[in-house]
Amino acid sequence: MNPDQESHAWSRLQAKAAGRLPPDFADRVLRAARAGLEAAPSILGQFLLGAATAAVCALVVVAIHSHATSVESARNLADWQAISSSSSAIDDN
Amino acid sequence: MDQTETTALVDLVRRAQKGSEAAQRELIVSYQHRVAGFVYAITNRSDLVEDLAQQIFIKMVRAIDRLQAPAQFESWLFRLARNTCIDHLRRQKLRRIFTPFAPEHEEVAEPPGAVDTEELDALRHALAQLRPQDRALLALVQEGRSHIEIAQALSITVAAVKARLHRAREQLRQHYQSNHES
Repeated sequence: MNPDQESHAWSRLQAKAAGRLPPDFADRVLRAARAGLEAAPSILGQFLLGAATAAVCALVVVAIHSHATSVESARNLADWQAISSSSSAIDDN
Repeated sequence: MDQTETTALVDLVRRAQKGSEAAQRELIVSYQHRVAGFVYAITNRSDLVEDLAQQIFIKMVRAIDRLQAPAQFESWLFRLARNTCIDHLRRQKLRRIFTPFAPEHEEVAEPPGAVDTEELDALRHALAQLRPQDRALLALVQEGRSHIEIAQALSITVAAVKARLHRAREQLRQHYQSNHES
């Protein structure tokens, strides 16, 4: 393969590849790039979404903890009242 | 590329960096045929040319504002093109591990009537025998990239570029001749 042959073959290869592109290729690319940019969330948007998710998670944790604590307190109080009334009954006897 | 052309390209790239769609469009139109040829040389599949060329130019549009040296645009674009093609081939190889398809099942036949010349056919078959990295190296040289630019793009020394290029050319020549003669 001499350099002329090689160069000619490469030109043919490029021409064949170029033939695979549609005539409105550049417009399609720009449309796709624009659509992608519009669909992609901004940095601020991603930060706000992350912050909102973290806040919701924190609220859920606090609510569950607070509910569990109040249920536990009510149970302890009921137990304590039962013990208290039992000891009062023993004292009265 | 002479001084006037370089100045015009730098001006065009600067306008594209500022968000001018007309400039971005002009860049795509100017380079689409060269990028298509480059993609075909690396992948050796004409059915991938449009998709990969589109991916490359979308990346170009999105990242052009981060290009610090507009004079280096061509070198940057072909580095982007090379990386996109090599990434695609790697993903394809990985996908084959998880799918029962053999490589030949993924090949799409050339459209009817697409008769290649003997030269092009021999070159395509010769390129198919090389590693994608070596095909990319030969395609970069065909695109007029200097050894220094290629070395920077591949993070290797200029001496390594020369050695790999010499080896790739030898292999291409051998395969080309064996295809051409048979």
